[in-house]
Amino acid sequence: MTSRAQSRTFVAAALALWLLFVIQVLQSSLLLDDWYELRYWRDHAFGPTALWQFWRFNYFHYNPRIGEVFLAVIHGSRALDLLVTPLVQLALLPLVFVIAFARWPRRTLRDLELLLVIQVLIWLVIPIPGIMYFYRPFATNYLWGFAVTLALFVPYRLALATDSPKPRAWLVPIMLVLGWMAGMCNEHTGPTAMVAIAAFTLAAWRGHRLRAWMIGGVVGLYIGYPMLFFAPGQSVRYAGLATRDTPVKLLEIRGLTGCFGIVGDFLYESRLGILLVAATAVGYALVHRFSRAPRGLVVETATLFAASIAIVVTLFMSPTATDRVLFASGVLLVAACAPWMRFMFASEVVRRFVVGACIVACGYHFVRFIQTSAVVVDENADRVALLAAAQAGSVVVLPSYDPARRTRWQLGDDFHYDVRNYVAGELYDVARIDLDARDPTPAPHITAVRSYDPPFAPHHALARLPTYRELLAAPLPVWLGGRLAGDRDHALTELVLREDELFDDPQHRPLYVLDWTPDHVKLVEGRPYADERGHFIRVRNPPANVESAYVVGCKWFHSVELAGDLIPIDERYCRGPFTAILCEPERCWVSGWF
Amino acid sequence: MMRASLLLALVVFAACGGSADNPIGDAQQVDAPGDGAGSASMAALDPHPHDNKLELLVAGLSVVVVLGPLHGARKRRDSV
Repeated sequence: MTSRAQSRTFVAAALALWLLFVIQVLQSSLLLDDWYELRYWRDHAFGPTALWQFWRFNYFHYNPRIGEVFLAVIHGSRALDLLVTPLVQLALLPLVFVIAFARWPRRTLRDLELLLVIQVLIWLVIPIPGIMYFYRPFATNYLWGFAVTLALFVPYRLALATDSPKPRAWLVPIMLVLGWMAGMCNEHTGPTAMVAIAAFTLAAWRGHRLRAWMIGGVVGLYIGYPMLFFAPGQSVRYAGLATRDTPVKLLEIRGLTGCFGIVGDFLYESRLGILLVAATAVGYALVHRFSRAPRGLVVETATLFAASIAIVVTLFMSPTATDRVLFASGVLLVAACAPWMRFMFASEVVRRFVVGACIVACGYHFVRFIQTSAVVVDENADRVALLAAAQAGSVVVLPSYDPARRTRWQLGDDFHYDVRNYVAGELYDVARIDLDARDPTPAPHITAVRSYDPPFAPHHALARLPTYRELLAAPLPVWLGGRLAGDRDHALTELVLREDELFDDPQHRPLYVLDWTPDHVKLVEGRPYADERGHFIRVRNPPANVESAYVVGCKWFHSVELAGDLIPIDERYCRGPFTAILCEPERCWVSGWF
Repeated sequence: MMRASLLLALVVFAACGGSADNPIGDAQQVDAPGDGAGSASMAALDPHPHDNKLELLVAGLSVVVVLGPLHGARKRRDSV
């Protein structure tokens, strides 16, 4: 093939991948954390001021990662979403190429083949690729975040591959900002990035190739990461999970078995990619004798593999080690394998078969991505239309998504989680959202039972009932205001808030959150408490005749013994939030949270 | 012998991915569900079933990648 034809083929393939990403942006749905963005942009005009306010609030009170700001940007402007999202997704590929081969890809058939292999391996190695690429909150937090980190390392990788890198003074402020952004991306990738950038800079200094922009990147990263790790929002997010325990404490809780479990999960999630690389090695070995691999190849692979595992090891000390945080390690594992694939591509016959296999696997991913998103976007549009047409204060029954459970390609039905209460109350002013199909993980919701004088059956449910924690923060009138007064002909004499579905009581007693009458309010107040003995819920005003106590958390409940005013929390098997329940002979009470 | 061992190792590796659901290992036991603002972590607790078609496809492609070059090389040798 002539070089011109190769160049055309290269561009056509890049356009095809870009087109896939554009189609996927056009087929984006509102799912899970997307709903919070919808609410924000309903109340704010898109622009730098609103984005600054958003970042500032997040930094101090919620998720301080810069990926949340990226998410706000693509939700705030459809045009920017269409323009930037496909480019970032596309950019990940050449960035990995540079990290693997220390040069930019050229418009040749050989480099196109390597890029194809890298892209297919990324999709095979990372868990849940359909969600990581196209569920926007995960994409901006993990894919975008790691693309920024890789972009920071590209100039170092290229510079160390040359004898005399150019000074490029203009690059200093850019690297400073890029370093800061990379530091603000993810808690679990930061430590490895800091060690790696220090190693690059040290190598440059030793080889008399140190440049000012290298220092700029280091300074930015070393400012950005502590800013993220110690952000005030970390103590609020997920009920303070991120700061509840020190990394050492988490390591102790997890133990050796738990740590091995994380490594096992990573290898398990990567199994399809590893299988393809191993098959290539076996295919190569069956045809050729493995000549001694160049030392540089071994060193590069070992370094990238070490970086991949280092990120996995960081997760030993992380409060969350679920599949999405394995994204960066997976991408680095692919970068570690890529030089070996190129080495084995020296065999023409092996190269042909591997490239053929990757074309088939790539096509399969294209079809599955597009097909899945097309179904979800239609279901999502129907759901939004039904919610928009619902009457205020009503209960809306929505069709469940099919499939309702999460798959490799899509998130599943987000209304199986408690976000549906938020969507109901905050976005559409309806009392409750129910799903038409059986809900395998029902979101417990608070219901109101009202008594009037004279007796009266109200037609409308109360929209937006406060949660238990909201009631701890502010008294009932703040949340319900004038609705506590009844109407002209009927006085409200009692309001009971119940959360019966939270707890499967063996004695089938009602579970009270609050009992209000015009003369008194009964709310059992319990809050997190920790001392050297462990974690507890401290109950300020327990019910009078407590006969049993329970703790509900992580989809199970168990009976506990009260120690004075403290209810012990058992975090051996899972971590919070937990809810304490104290039972009297006639009723149980929500009595605190941790 | 070495080649046979490699082939055996590959087959054993391929056979390891046969369970229907991804088990939630210890890695996911130490995790947190959301508290209303950030319920994505609840989604993370869910196991995700394998795409059996993809598993089969990659297993099949791996076999092709192993045996194809061998077959191709033999064919070329025979023609010479």
